[in-house]
Amino acid sequence: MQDLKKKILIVDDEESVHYAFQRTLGRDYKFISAMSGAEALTKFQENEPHLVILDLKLPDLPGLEVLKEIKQLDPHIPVIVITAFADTETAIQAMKEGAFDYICKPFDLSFIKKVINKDLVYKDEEQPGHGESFNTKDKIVGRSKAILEISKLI
Amino acid sequence: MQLLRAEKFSALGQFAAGLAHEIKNPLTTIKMLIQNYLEEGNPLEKKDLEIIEKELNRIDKLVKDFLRFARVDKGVKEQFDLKEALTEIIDLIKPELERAKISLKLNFPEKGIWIYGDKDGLKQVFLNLILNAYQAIDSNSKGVITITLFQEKEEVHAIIEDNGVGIPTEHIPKIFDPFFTTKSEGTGMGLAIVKSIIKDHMGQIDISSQINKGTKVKIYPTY
Repeated sequence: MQDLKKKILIVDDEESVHYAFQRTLGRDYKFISAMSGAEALTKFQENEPHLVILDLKLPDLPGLEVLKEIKQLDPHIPVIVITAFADTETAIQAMKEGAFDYICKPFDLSFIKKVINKDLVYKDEEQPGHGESFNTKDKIVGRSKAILEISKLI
Repeated sequence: MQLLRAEKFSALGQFAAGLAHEIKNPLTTIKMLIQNYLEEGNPLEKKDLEIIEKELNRIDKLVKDFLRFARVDKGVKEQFDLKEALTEIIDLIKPELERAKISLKLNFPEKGIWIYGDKDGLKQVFLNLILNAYQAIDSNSKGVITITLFQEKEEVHAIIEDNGVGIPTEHIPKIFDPFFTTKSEGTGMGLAIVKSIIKDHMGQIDISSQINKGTKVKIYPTY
């Protein structure tokens, strides 16, 4: 039987974070794990996930660089940036590069679930046609309080 | 003086930010697993609890390492025999080296070397450096750790060498930075602690390394 679960690529160098996602949300989604930026880019192309959860601190490449490359491969892919080191400048940069949401670790399970659902619904319903261009503000679709604050700054 | 204090506070702020960052990662896992039980009603399995315990131990180690690094409890300086202090550390770690089939070569002077310093702090320095040497050695290779201690005029030299994997050149400038690590289980505080303690003794550290040949760390604790 075909697996109908939506695929989520998790990019984080913490093994335990992969375990926690799999354990808490593994029933609803199919998780693909990448421990580094290079692995993320390879697995992104191999698996064509519906959503990416990306930590900004990676052992090989800057997370923002990975975000940029993923967005070049698929401009419409929802990317949720997660970070343990929250600063406004990076958040703005992440949103400019097309992140859908920017979430600080440690987050609530109910919150990340809501954000994942919202971004997947957005991808299903609002997928624009090819060749359409966005401006930075259009790309910000996150609705968390932090995102709304950041969107005012851009 | 004011500038120095400002720099010190700014550095402390950076370290505190680094510590917060390192702690938030294990907290994420712990929080997700516990909320999965409390809010979703999914029972915690043995593996969940093992991971929670591992992550709590990691936070505990980070905080302890950070306090050692920040030198909140600066050791009392006293006259002591550095050869004896180093021997105590070697005795502690020897069984582990034997288990890993790593040979230990000691080039020690016959007499003791008496210095004025923080004995516990310098023992911590030796422990961290020997552990690094041990961890740099591939389990399949014929590992050798050589420790040399000597005194030249008024200067004391301690050299710890290994024939392990070596340190990539691009990592050398960062290895003393707090939280810099290439080990999956490391907190990245070991060499930062070494630097902090040696600095307290107005001493110096030199590192040279070659990939797949090994690493040599020389320290010159104050005389």
